[in-house]
Amino acid sequence: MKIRFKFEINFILILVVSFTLVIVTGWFVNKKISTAVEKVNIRLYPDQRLTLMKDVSKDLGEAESKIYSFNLTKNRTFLTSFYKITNQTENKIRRLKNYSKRDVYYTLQIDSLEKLVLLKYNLMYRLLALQNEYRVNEAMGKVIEHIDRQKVIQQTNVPNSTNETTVTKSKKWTSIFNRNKKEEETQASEITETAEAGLELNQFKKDINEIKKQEGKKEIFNNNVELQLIQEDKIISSKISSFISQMDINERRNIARKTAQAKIAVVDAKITIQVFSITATLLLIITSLVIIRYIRKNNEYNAFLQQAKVESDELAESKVKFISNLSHEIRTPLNAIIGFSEQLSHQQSPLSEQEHQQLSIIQKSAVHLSHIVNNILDFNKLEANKVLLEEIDFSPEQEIKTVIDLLQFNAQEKNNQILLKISEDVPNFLAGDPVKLRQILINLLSNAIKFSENDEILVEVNMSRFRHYKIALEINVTDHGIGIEADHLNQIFREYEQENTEIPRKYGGTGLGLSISKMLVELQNGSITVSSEKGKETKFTVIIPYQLGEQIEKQIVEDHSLDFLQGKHVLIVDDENYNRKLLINILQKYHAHITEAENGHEALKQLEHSFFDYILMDMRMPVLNGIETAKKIRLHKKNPNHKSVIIALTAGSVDEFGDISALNAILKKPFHEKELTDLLKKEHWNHVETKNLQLEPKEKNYSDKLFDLTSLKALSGNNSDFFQDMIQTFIQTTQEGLMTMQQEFKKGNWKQISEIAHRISSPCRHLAAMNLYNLLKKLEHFKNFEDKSALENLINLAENEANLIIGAIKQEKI
Amino acid sequence: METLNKAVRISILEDNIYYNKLLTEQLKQHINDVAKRKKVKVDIDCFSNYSDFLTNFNTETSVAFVDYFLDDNKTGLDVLRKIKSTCFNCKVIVLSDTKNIWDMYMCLLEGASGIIIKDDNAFSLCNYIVDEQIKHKSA
Repeated sequence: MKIRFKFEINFILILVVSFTLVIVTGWFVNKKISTAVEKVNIRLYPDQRLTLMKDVSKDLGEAESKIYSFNLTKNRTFLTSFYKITNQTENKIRRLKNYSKRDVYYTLQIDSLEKLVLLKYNLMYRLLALQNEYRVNEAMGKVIEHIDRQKVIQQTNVPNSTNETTVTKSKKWTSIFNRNKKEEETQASEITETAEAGLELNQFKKDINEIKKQEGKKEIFNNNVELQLIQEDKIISSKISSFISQMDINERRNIARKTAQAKIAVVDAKITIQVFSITATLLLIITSLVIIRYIRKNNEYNAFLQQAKVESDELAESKVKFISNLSHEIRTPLNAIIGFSEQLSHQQSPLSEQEHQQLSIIQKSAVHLSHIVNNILDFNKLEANKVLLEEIDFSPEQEIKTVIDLLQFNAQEKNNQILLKISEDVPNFLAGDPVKLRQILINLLSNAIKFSENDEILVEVNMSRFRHYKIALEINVTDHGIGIEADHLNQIFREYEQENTEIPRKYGGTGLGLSISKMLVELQNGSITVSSEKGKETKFTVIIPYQLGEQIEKQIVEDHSLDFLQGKHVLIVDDENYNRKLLINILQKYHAHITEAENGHEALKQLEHSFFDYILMDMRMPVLNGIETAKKIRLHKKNPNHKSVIIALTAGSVDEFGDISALNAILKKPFHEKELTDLLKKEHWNHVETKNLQLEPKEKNYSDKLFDLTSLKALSGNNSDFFQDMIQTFIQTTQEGLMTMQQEFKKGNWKQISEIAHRISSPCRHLAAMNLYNLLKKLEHFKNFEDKSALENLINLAENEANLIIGAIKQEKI
Repeated sequence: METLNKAVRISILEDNIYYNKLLTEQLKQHINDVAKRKKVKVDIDCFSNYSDFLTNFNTETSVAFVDYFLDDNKTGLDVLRKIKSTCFNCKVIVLSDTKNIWDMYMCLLEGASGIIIKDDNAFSLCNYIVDEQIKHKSA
């Protein structure tokens, strides 16, 4: 227990440590890996930033090209695209600003980039503006050209209409191309054919040339501006470009740094996992070692316990054998003492008063000694759980009366009277073990007689409800003797204990009687209690549950005559000379022919050439013991002795002999003459009954007709299927029932045989198979299970009858 | 509705298959005529062992014919108690092959409506009991 407790603590500790380790390690590893992943993820942002920056640079280049394209082609589509690109660039710069707002350095850089971009776009706008001014100059050139042309035409054509048209057109051109504050409306003037008009025109031309010069100067200025702008643009572009490159380099450095950090985190995580694995492995090894050590220790203890159990069993076995041997050794001579003292007291020649007294003392002492030995043996058997309960039908009233009759003499010696009171509700028959009941009652009544004088000992028998049992027999034994102290009421049921040390000296006894009674009562699931008042009264109450029994068929043992023994041949087999002499002494009185044998071997020799009605055989013999001899006799089917009545006489326990089916009956030594003669009578009448069954099967309701199907046919009417079904059912159930009966017989399950016989008998009655019905009824009510040969005969007869019936049914081709 | 009220249910518990079939068949033949005349529906449930009976016993049973000695150490008394605990109004008739007075007494004490010995008159008595039930239902 201590070791188990220690092991459990160790085991729990290791488990706790393992779990803690797993959790902590898992947390660390998770953290490291998360860091590594985070660092890897950061790469996305720099990439995105860098991409945006490059986009911005690209946009600038594209915008520039759009401007140039527009300048060359004057296609407004390029202008529209340019404005779109500027919007895109603006958005991208806004997005760049949104990344890493907390990064001050980065924010400054983006601001710088934004300014450069704005400058660039500013330049582009200015370039664009310059281009528009040229158009005005160009337009002015065209005006002059056109005026020159008109002058030529006027000189050659009709003045009015053409001139009006020209003036109109001139007005139109002037109104269209006058952008630079020359919003003068030139009035259509009539060009005269005079020199004055020509002079005016020349003046006009001079003015325009002046303007053209001015514009030319402006153009030159603008070209310079343009060049300057272009140069500035180049500078800005290169600044932007280098700026973006620098940012690119910075980002790459950043990525490299983050990657290195991520690598370190991963390596850390790897190391942590390795450490954890090693630690876990070590812990597992330790745990395994602890468990192995525990199992080994456990096995050692188990082996030790096993050994102790084996030794204890051997000791118990030796004790049982010793007591069994001892009781046998004591009982054998006791048998001679009791037997011969009995014979002496019955002999014809008279004994003197003193001789009678002495003989009586010898007898009583021997009987008393025999009881002590029986008690010791019974106690021993009960302790070893080797007592088997019988279940047969018995009459409780009869059993109790038998016990009272047995002890009447002892009671009268002390001037005690035993009164019996049986309640009306006590059933006539119960099913249980009457032998154990007698034993219990003998113990209780013997005690009552022993401890009282001049008393009325009352035996009350009632029915009672006990625990969950519906039927229980309650027996109260009340005496008015010395009583028992209240403190000692429990100890009197303990083995070898009596109320006090004076009791054995004054009243005798081994102190086993009550403990045996208690064990026997409890073996039958009953209870025994005592109530007592010192010096006044003692009452023992025994309650034993039983089942209801069936009426016992009266055995024909009422006839006390032993005349049947006259002329009978009896073989006495015993290795003890005085046991043989005792039996001869008893049986010679009844004029039986007696033959002796010292052992089983000699007995078999005798049986080869002589027939014996009875074989009285001791069990423990040298050369060949009683049980082996009995088995050999039964096997020898050709010898008529194989059916002889074999009665075993034994001073030992029946259990030690194993299978006793070869025996007809067992008589325990020491025995009284009456016990022997009663047994011989019983066996005689059993034998007669079986013989009658074999020789005269046609008595009582036996019929010549095997069966009659009239009733079944009448019921079936025209339904032949039903008729066939019933016939098949009968054949099947009967055959199966008989087969099961044979099996149960081999197993010794007598009750089952009775039940099966009951079950399969009713169809036989319906089919008027009365012979079979009667045989099955006999089997159902068969009680003398010790007479196995008779039982086997009955079963065989029933089987034969059933086979005849079934054969006949099949022959009729039903 | 009318048909449902006029219904008689009979249960038979007999562990001997032959006798079980015999009793069932002869009751069926007898009931056929009577039930038709009285316009009562009659159902018969047959069981050959105790456990089967316990599982499938219908509490609407009007009369149960129960063999006294059954398998598995059970008797008609055990069955009788079970029936009375679930179907108090059910008439239980115990069929017995033996004439053990004590057994019969115990059965009657426990509420059996009658004991029929399995002799030549057994079937007639069973028929009579069923007739009474049918008459009672048709009234």
